[in-house]
This record gives sequence, C-alpha cells and structure tokens, in this order.
Amino acid sequence: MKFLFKLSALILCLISSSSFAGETQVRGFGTLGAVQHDSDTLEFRRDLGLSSEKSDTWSLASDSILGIQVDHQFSEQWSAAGQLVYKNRVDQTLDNSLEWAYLRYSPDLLPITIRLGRTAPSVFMLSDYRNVGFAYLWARPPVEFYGPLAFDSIEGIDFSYTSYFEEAFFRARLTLGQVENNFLEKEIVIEASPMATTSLLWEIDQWKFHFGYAYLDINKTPSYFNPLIAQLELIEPFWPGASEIKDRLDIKGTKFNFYSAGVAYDSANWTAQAEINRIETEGSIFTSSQSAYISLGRRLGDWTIYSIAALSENTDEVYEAPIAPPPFTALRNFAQNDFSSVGMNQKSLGIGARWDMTNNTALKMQWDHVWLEPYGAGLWGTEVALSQKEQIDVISISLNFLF
Amino acid sequence: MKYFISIILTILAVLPSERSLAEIVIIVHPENEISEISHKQVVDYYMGRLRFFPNGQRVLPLDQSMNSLSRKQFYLKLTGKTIPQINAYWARLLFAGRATPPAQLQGKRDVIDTVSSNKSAIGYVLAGDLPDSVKIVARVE
Repeated sequence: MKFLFKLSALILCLISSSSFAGETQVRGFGTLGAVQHDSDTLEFRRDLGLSSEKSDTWSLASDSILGIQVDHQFSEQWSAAGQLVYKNRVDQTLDNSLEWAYLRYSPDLLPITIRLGRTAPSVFMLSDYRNVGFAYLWARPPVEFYGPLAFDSIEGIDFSYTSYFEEAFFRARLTLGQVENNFLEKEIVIEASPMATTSLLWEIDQWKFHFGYAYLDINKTPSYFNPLIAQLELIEPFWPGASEIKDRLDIKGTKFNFYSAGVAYDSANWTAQAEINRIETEGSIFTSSQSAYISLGRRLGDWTIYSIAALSENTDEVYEAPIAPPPFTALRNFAQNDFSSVGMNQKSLGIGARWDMTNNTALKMQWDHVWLEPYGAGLWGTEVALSQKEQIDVISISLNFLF
Repeated sequence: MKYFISIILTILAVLPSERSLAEIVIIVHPENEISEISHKQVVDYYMGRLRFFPNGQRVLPLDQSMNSLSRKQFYLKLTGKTIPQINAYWARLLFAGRATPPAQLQGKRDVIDTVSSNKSAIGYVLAGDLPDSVKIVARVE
C-alpha cells in the first residue's frame, strides 16, 4: 500500500501549503533517556524494532525519542494528521519514521470516526502512545509486554465508535490493513497482510478496563532467511531433517493471534495498572508466549514513586532441530542458534520515581532487576543464544517533555 | 470608637470575600440554548468525551494559558487532578490521534471575547465583573 503512503504524504504537503483554509497545529513530544546496564554479553533493547545497545556506560540511544505531529482541520468533519517519530530504529528511514499519516472523517450525527492511511496499531493499553513518555508513569512501556509486538504503523482503514452513558465511557476500535516493520536486524522485515486489530475500552470513574485482539498473517518470508533456506534445500536429499528446519524458517503464511486484557486505576494518591496477553502461533520459528505486568504508584505532591513487575514466557518449548549427520552439523547448529534466540523468558522487578518538574516536563529514574532464563534472551541483542540463567540490573534516567 | 468600628465593619462587609474571588464560573454565549449544566457535563466537555451540546451544536471548550492560576484552580476543583496529570491525559489522546485538547487562549479577557462571539464556545473564568455578552451556566466550587 505504497499508494496510501503517497496519499498521506500528499495530504501533508497540502496541509503545509497555504491553499487550504482551516487550522493547522504543530505539536510534539520527546524523551531524552539514558540507560546503563551491567551485562557483558547482552545488549539492551526497548523493543524489537529498535537497535540494541551495549551499555557498560550510559547510552542515550535506547530511550531517546522525538516526535512531531501536525494536525490540520479542514472542516468540522474532515481533518488530517501526521506524526514523524525519530528513535533508534533498526532501519532508519523517513518512511519508517512517518509513524502515521491519515485522513479522518467524523460525521456530526454519529459517534464514529473513520481514518484512512497509516495509524498506530492499537492492541494493548499503551499501544497508541508508547512513544510519549510524558503520558505514562514508567521509564518505558514494560519491555516484556510491549517489546515483541512492536509494529509502528498499520496501513489501511480504522474505525472507532464511542458512547457515553451515565458514568461510563466506552470506545471500540477496529483497524484493518497491512504492516511492515524491521525487527532485530535491518535485513529482517516482517510483512503481514492482512492485519486486523480491535480494542475495547471502558472508563468508569477512576477505573479503566481494556480488551484487545489482533490477528496477523505473514505474507512474505524475510530475505534474511533466504540464504539459510537455500542451503537447507540443497542438502534436503541427503538429510530429510533439513526440510523440517527449512519449513520453520520459511515463515510466509504463519498466523498469529494476540489476546490481551488490562485494568487501570487512577485516584488522587494512587495509580495502578496491570495487563496480561497471550500470543498464539505455530509451525514456525516463532513460539506462542504470554506476558504480563503489574504496577503500583503513590503520588506525593509532584512526585510519584512506583514499582513495576513484569514477565514474559514461552508457552511452547524452544524448538530443537533434529540432529544432523556430521557433514551438516555446523549448518544445523547455525539454524538452531536462530531458533534458540527467539525465546523470550524473563522476569523483571523495577522501582522508580517520576517528578513532574513543570506542567510539560517530567524526570524519571528507574532501576530494574531482570532475571533471564536459558534461551530466553529474545528481547536482548546477542550474537549467540543465551544458554544459562542470567541476572541484569538496568538503570535509566529520562527526561520527558511535551511542546 | 464605635464609629470607627462600624466603619471597619462596613468596609469588611463591602469587600469581596475570599471565597467568591476564588470561585470559577462557566460561561457560554447568551444565545446558547442551555441555561444550566452539571459539574459532570463540564468534566465531559473539557475531557473531550462529549463533543456536542444537548441541542446538537458542537462544543468548543476554551482553556486559559498553560501556567495560569485560573487553569490550575479549574482543573483541581473540577477533577482533582494537577496540570501535569491533565497534560498526560491529553498527551495520551492527542498523540494517539484520538482527540484534541481545548483551544488554548491567554486569559479571562480572551475567553470572554471568544465566548461572546461564538455560540459553540464554552469557557471558565474567575467570577466577578462579567459583561452581558456572556451567560453563566455553572459554578465550579
């Protein structure tokens, strides 16, 4: 859907030209974040779409983000918006940085909104605003939960419906389209079409309840796997086991189902939030998994002190490739390393503090202790799959701002 | 002495009380059909949940400047939240492409001017000294 991207870009150009009457607003957000951790072999990642950073000293790359948003109102019903987000992506291009650009229609008589173009896939509670540090309590959305499904944008059509009755506010959202994102390495591009996401949100007094579901169908095997697949095809006649490995690497046609539920509570003095999710898939290098987090914060004047616990685990065993006869052992082990690197089995416990310095800026300090299981370092950057348990301390200091 | 005391008491009686100085009123255009709105409706208009008045007209909520005392008082009385919390709330909606925050004006004068000339507008100002070109529909205690 490069067409949609061109349409969105055209809209943005029109907005910036003076031939359209209406109101244009430019706003933005950012985080200047420094991270340090104490692992010699693993590199920290905020999510799978961002580069990993070795951090034996402070690194600004993982958490620092700058976003600029342009909103233009053509009329009471029609508007358009675009958001450029600069962050430490695996593949840094302008196209990738344009996280959304869409045309929006909102009729007067119906409480619905339709958006056409590129939008943020909304599956979990923070999905829509995970780049906006000021909007949430912690240094970053918990990596165990938000790290894996890190698609920045979905191109297609998006519907939302809101209703407001007595004390309760309700919003339902459905998005249909396709996604394309680089993960882990520049060469690994996951393309999925179709992708469908839906989310339901209830807000009642100080409570928020959220349910999300997403489906995606990978429609192309990333070129990153092609050399290995080609070699396995060559040796298939000599070793049947190679075809099983090849099928798992050839991820075209792999389907995923994501389910999530979340709850949040916000009062004058307390803030709490928890979410759980389950990712189901089979037949490929990816395994099914589930993750969750829970957080509690206490407000004291301009400060909020908080604690957050998170975990992520595979619900299937890490795949073991069949043992190969001697000539093919190296190739088999090379492939096995890929399978072993995908598992995400970790728990973390963090404590931190947020200081609302001004109305638009906040300072956060967070310390996380992470426990990793063998072959569970899928969220971290590593050459060789982690084969034993490890514990890592991660310290972050970030400054969030809005403008 | 008695004369002196009565003068003091008269002056005190005539001075605006501390309470009414801090009181905030919600104003709309005089021709706006609504005559009174509830505390909850004010919250809903300002939190972007209700976009229309009961008569079907779009609502245009107005904010005073970011660091103004009126704004701070308004949100504290209305929702119990501080300005950073309100900003975080709007950041979640605005930067997710869901809704846009109230239009931001400077101060009381600008709010009165806009409300006087726009039937969709709704604003908050400190009570006291309001012209006939605006109508009070609620008081925020």
